Amino acid sequence: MTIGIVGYGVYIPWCRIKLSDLAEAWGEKFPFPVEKTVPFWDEDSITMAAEATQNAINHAGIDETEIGAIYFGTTTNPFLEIQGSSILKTMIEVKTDTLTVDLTDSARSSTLSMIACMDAIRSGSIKYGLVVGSDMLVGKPGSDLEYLASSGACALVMGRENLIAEVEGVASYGTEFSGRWRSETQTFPRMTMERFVREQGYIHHVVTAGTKLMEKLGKKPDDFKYAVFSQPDLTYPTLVARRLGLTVDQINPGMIGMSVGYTGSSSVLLALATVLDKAKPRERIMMISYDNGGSDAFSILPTENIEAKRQNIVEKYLKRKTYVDYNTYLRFNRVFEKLPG
Amino acid sequence: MSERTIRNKVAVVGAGTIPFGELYDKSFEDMMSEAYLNCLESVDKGIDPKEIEACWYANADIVWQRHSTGAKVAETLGLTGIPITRVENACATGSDAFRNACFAVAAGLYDVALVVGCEKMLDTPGGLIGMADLPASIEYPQPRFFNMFAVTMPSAFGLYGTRHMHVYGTERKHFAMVSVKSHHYGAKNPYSHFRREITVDDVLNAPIISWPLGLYDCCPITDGAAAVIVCKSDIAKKYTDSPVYVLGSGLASQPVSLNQRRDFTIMEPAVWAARQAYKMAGVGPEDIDFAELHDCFSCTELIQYEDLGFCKKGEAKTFVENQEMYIGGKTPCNISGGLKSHGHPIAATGVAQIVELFWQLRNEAPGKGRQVPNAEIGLQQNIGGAGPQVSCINILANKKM
Amino acid sequence: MLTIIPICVSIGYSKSYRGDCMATAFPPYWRSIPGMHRLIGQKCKKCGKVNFPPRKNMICTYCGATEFDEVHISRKGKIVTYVVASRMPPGVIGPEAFAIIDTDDGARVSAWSTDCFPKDYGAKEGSPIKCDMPVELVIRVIGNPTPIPFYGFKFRPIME
Repeated sequence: MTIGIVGYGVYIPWCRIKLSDLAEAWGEKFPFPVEKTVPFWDEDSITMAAEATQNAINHAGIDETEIGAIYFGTTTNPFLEIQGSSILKTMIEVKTDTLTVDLTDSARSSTLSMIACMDAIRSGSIKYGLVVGSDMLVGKPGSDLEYLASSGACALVMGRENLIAEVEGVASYGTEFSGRWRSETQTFPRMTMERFVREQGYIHHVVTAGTKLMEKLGKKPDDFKYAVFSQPDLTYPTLVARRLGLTVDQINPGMIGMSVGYTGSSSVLLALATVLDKAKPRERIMMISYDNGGSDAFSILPTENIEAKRQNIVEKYLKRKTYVDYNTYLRFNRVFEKLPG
Repeated sequence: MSERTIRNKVAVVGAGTIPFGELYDKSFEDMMSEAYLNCLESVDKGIDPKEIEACWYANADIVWQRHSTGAKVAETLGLTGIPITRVENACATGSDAFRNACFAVAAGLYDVALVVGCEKMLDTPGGLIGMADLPASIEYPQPRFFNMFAVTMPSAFGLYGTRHMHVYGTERKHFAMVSVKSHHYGAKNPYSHFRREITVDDVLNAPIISWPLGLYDCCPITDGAAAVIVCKSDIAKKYTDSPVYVLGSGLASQPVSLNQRRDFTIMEPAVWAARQAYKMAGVGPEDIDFAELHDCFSCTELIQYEDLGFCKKGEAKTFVENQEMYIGGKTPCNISGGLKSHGHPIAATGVAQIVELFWQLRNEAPGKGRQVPNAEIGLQQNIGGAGPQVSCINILANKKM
Repeated sequence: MLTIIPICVSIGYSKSYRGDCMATAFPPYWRSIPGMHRLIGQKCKKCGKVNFPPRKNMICTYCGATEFDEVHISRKGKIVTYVVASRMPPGVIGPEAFAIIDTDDGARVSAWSTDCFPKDYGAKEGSPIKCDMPVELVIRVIGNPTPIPFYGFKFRPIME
């Protein structure tokens, strides 16, 4: 049975900050043209997810009541003890027996949600499933992790029929590695030595998962037109690409992190959406997510339907922007309220 | 055929009030008794409190409801035993209480009735209004952080100001001229909260509260009290040789929810209440010699010039530019200083406006330069609620019509 | 009534009481969810006008009839009138505009603004908010998002 994506939608906040302005606020320099998003003060993961969901459902063109399960993947749920997906459920017209599943604590949660959703569809429990990745990351002011920590959301409607892209295969790889963490009492995420995290964490897991995927499906690097990755750092995808045998032309179209930063669990899905906006039928996409000790690699093949349902949604949200300064960035991210005392 | 009216059946024979302001040293009861005693004194030929047969008590107290039963009046004013009805209708409370007292007297049930209004706003942080982030939707009377529809008073009335500006080309400076006029007369009124003049530039440069309304477009938070005594017209001469007669009264309401309103360039309850009051009184807008309007915000008063028929729809800005609302103009309005300068203790305002009408119609307005010459018919109006939800109008005259 | 007073009344605007309440854990807000989260209105079968927010046993404000169709109010519309409030409750970053909006399908709703900076007051050139401006309705957090959010819809200038 082929399972895949019926429709997709994104949400990218209106305000942006240039990383050069952020660096300047700390007396440093950042001479690259990278910017990231700043959520408006009244946004959170759930409001962003709601708009991305609305866009995805409109794109998919399905009846909302046929969605059998909602999978919400985030690391920044507003509540520790209320499901974000059950609040999201009140914002769309779904039946009361729709399953709501929150996958949290990892930026892989969006791709893990996809895997769980696909399993549910394959087993016949649901007809359509909604997968949402939404995060509002905030880094400690003045730290390295602050540079790219940003917000965004992406939603996919997955199903068996009317697919615009089918998921050909999945390969996961996980070990006991932890490089970046945030405990219940810590307000901001922390990371250990950067080279260690990069080599033993990101590169090792992404490359291994990608290799396993290609072996499993019997594919070679040039069978893929595009390759998209989670982007906690904008140099990592290039390093990974070299080891997987991919070229710069394959990874550049998905480098949305240059414009939106690292949006946590939605990072890899936003990159996928960017590429789906452009992909023609049968232009295979490799998608690999990463967070602490695990990677999920997908092979996604756009179908003939993708032309009929062509949209340019990522561009539409990207070009709606305004720049704010560092003060506004801090106020909107409510950093002052997160500090003790 | 009997016409449904109370015209000429009820007379006001006494009226008293206290200087309005931030009266921290006076309690609620202190203010109420002072106004009542002033009212008793104002009866020319004297009155024995035992002659008061019923009382209508105007008090809004929108957050706490501490002063809510007639028992409060019975104790404070020494009126144990008589029927006392407490009336609440947001800012229209005062006129609504007066209207009901007049109906009871006109129906022949009581010879003499007292109307007393009292409001203590400054015992509460934020001055009562600040505590009650008011509902702009019928379902959710909760503060803004819980209620997406909640707005403040300036916001609710400002909506009308913005639409009026958009449709008729009125500008903020026209609103400013209304405030300047109110302060001009308030400065002369010893009972006023604010007693200084301001200029149009002061108003336009003041901090914005809720665009298009700035600090000097909004009425203050005031403490105050007022009381009037009404009686059957045919016994009025027992108390005074110059009673003031009630010609008519009107009251109308519209939906609470701002999104269920129809037109944002007119305040519909005021139009409907005016229609009722003019019909009952048998007069028209051109017969009104002066008016006490509800200028909780300067844009409200400006729109009332049109709603009450003092000028045609859309022409309020010309009315204001030609200073028609000053003494000497077509219809002097808010010669007491209005709510803007005289003050707005929510429930006491309506009753205080009746007191002002009483003084003007008997040629005894306190303060120099504040008497409307040859005043015969006066109109008093309150508008209540977040955005005009309800309006109550009473028309008085110094002779029977 | 007595259980609600402690929420809306306090000694000054202190954050602690207000932020700690999960709004929809209280009956009036829980009842409001269909209207606030999904923009459901009640279209009168007799006069065709949409009543919002919805409630049980609704009587049409415009004509007094009692039969309705439940409709999803369109998320796009035009501003009828607005104010720009500069004094905000704590936690709400202002200034924000409050507007009455006529939606494309004939309903009328009121909402606060988001995704714009109405610092330039009034209908001057360059003001982000004007009468008759096209806008769209989006779900956002109402009031202070920390520590506990309360969701509802706001309006923003329409996206091209």
